[in-house]
Parts: sequence; structure tokens; C-alpha cells
Amino acid sequence: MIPAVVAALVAALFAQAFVRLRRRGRADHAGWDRAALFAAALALALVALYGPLDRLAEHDLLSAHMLQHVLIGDAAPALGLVALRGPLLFFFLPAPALGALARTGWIRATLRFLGRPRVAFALWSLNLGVWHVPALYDAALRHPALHDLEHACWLNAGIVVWTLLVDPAGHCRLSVGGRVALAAALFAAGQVLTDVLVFSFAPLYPAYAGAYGLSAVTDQQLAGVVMMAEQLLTLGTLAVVLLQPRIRAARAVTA
Amino acid sequence: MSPGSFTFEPAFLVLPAAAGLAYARAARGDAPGRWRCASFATGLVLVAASLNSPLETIAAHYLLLIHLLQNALIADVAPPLLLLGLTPRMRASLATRFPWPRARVALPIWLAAWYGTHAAGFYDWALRSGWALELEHGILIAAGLLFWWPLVAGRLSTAAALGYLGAGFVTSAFLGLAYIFSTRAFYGFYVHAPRLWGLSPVRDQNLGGILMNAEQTAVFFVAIGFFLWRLLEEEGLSQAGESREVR
Repeated sequence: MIPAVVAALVAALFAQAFVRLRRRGRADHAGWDRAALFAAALALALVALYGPLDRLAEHDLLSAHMLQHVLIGDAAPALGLVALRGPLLFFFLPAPALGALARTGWIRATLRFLGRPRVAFALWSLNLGVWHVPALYDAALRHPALHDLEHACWLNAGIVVWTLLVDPAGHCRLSVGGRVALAAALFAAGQVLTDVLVFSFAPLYPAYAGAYGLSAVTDQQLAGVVMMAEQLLTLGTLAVVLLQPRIRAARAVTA
Repeated sequence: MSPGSFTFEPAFLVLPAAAGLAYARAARGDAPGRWRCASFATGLVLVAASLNSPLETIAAHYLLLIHLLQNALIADVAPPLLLLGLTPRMRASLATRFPWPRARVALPIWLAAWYGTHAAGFYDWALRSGWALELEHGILIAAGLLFWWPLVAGRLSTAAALGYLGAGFVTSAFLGLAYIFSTRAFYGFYVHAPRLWGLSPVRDQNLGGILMNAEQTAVFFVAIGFFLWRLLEEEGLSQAGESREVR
């Protein structure tokens, strides 16, 4: 229930930002492509949390659970922040709320701290590692509140790193090379977990005994591949988008 | 044949020896540093030792796992080491003597060699005929040299090198994954080969895939890490240049 309420609130905030910007004649910063991207981000998160995927993830397949996690912790934040980049981000909160936030010292300090690349990377990696400890993973499946906390951690860790990668506010905390390096570091960190899942010949998570013709070990290996494929897709796309202008420029110089 | 006995691929004793001699001759007029020498020598030793040792015996008679380790060493590790061992003048001389393909051609050639030599029909034939095994290894080494040449010879900008490595990493990974996830043995030769270390043909194949995947991940991560570091360094230099202009 909580995710649906949060999604509705976030959708309402986006809608008011979208309308406000367009009313000011800045449809160039609030095009329908942005609305489509944001809707896709919300849809991904909601499908992951409420669709058949959720049932599969909770009861049957570790690979489905992994897909759920990468959708809410990676794909959805990435798409949402790409949709919000530029002035839309500053219109996302109504002016009084934005002003109050900006004046609150500890919130600004916290955001500044979280915006440090090393902090963001460490938090993301810690989140990835901690929630995949088998005891905690299984406990989250047994206790709904812990499971909600787990999903909230995934979403927030995703927002923190993708804010640095997409740079929606144009803060330029990281150069293009720095962003590509962060993407590579995230992939490398993810690869550690992927390798553990893919390369083990014994099931690590007792809650999953295999289903739909998949053995527990194959399901686990598939979970590793799901994570790797999703990271390659999201982080790879980002790297291509960031590097392409450089490749073109270098070609133009040598031509 | 006992797994500990030596088996030889004579071509890969002769070729590394010839390459070593050519290198020593070229080094007389253009002395490479200690690191370049070590890199070239390690590349040669990897090729010669992995194909002329008990590793070859186990690969050619017992286990796919060791054959895949051998292939990974000669196709992914030895070629970049050999190329890194060349001095810029040696590379320039090689560039004029041999029509090295461009990166966009080298990548598909490397992939075709990688997947083609591991196709079941070719692999079984190579193992049964003996001489074709040398052909398989020759193809893998040549394809590895073609793949790494644009990177080592500086034919790609840093950003393009990262894209090239990323594309190579992703597109070559499927072979290892196919081995890891397989539930039946791909190669008839190893199904009928005597078993070693208690590994069934399928488990042997799964482990081979894991080894191949881990090795490729390590090699590509090192290379990607190097080019990322260079990208950051270039950005630092250009920023320093811009701030000097502003002053």
C-alpha cells in the first residue's frame, strides 16, 4: 500500500511541475517525452511491486526477486531522473516546500554528503552487499515491514548514485570521465555479487527451492545474469550516451 | 597417457622462438625498457608453456575446463602482453608491414574466431585430428592480436577505446555463460574422454565457463580501468589548460 501512495504523490508532484513549466511557456523543458519517461519509471516500479512479478519474487524465484530489485533500485530511478533533468527538477517541489528545504541546514548538509561520489558508491555497494546476506534476505521475505525497508533502501541507494550519474540539476559534481568511471565501479561492484551467484554450485538462499522447472541453483545463476544484464543495459547506455560526443569529436579531429 | 606427462604442439615452440629472436634483433637498434621485455617474454612463455606442457595433455585428452583455460590464456592474456612489449618504433614498423584491420573490422573478426573455434563441430574435429588443434590455437592467437592491436597501437581515442572494450566484453561473454548454464555436454570428444578429478562432462563444462568468464572479466576490467584512468587524466589536463587560458 505504501509504495502506491508514494507513487501517487510523486506522480502528482511531477504533474504540477510539468504543468507549471508549460504554463510559463517552457514546453522545451517539459516535453511529452519527459512525461513518457517519468511514467515509464513509475510503471516499472509499480509493475515490480504489484504485478505477477511480486508474487513470483516473494514465493517462487530468486531470479524474479532480483529482477524486482534491479527495476526499483536501478531502472526506475535512472529513468525518473533522466525525465526530471533540468528545470523540471527545480519545479518538482512546490516553491514553499523547496524554499523550506533549502533553508534547512541539516537537510542540505545531508544531501551534500550523500552527493559525494565516494559516499554514494559506498552506500550503494553496502546496500547491495548487506541485503544479499542470506539470513537477512530470508528474514525480509518472512517479515513484510523488513521487506518494505529493503525495497526502500534499494530505491534510495539507486536515487543517490543515479543523481550523480545523470546529474539532473547540472551540478557537475563529476566530469564525464568521472561519471563513466562511477558507472564502471558500480558495474564492478555488482559483478562481485553476480559472480557469487553465477559461480556457486549450491543454493545460497534457503527460501528458494526452485520452481517452474528451474532448480534452485539454476534460478540463482539466472539471478546473477539478470543483475548483470540489467546493469549492462542501464550503465552501458549511460556510458554510450556520455562517450559518444567524445568519440565523434575525436573522429572529427583525425578526419 | 598420464595427465602429468608432456604433450607438444611443435608449431608453438617454433613460432615463439622465432618471435623471441626477431624481438631480440629489433631490440638491438631500439632497446625496450625492462617492463616491455618482461611483458613480451611473459606473452611468449604463456603461449609456449600452455601449449607444450601437461596442460596440453589434460586439455587434449581429459578436460574441457583445462582446454578453455588454455584458450583464454593464449587468446586473451598473451596477445596484449606481446603487443605491450613492443616499442613504439617496433609497432610502427609492424604497422607498415602488415595490413592491420581497423577496430570496427577487428572486433567482428575476433568474435567470429572466438565463437567459431568453440563451435561443437570444429572443436571436436580439432581435438580428434590433432593438427587442427594447432590451427584452432593459431586462429585464437591471431584473432587476439588483431583485437588488441587498435588499443595498444593508439589507433582509438580514449573514449572510443572504452566503447570498443565494452563492446568486446559484452559480445564475447555469451560463450562463457552458455557453458555455465548448460545441462548437457556440447562436445562429444569430452563425453567419451577419461574422467579426471571426479568431474562429470557437464560439471567440467560448467566450470570451464566459470573460468572463462572470470578470466575475461579480469582482463577487460584491467583494460577498461586503464582507459578510464587515461580519460580522467585527459580531462584534468584539459581543465588545467582552460584555467590557464582564463588567467
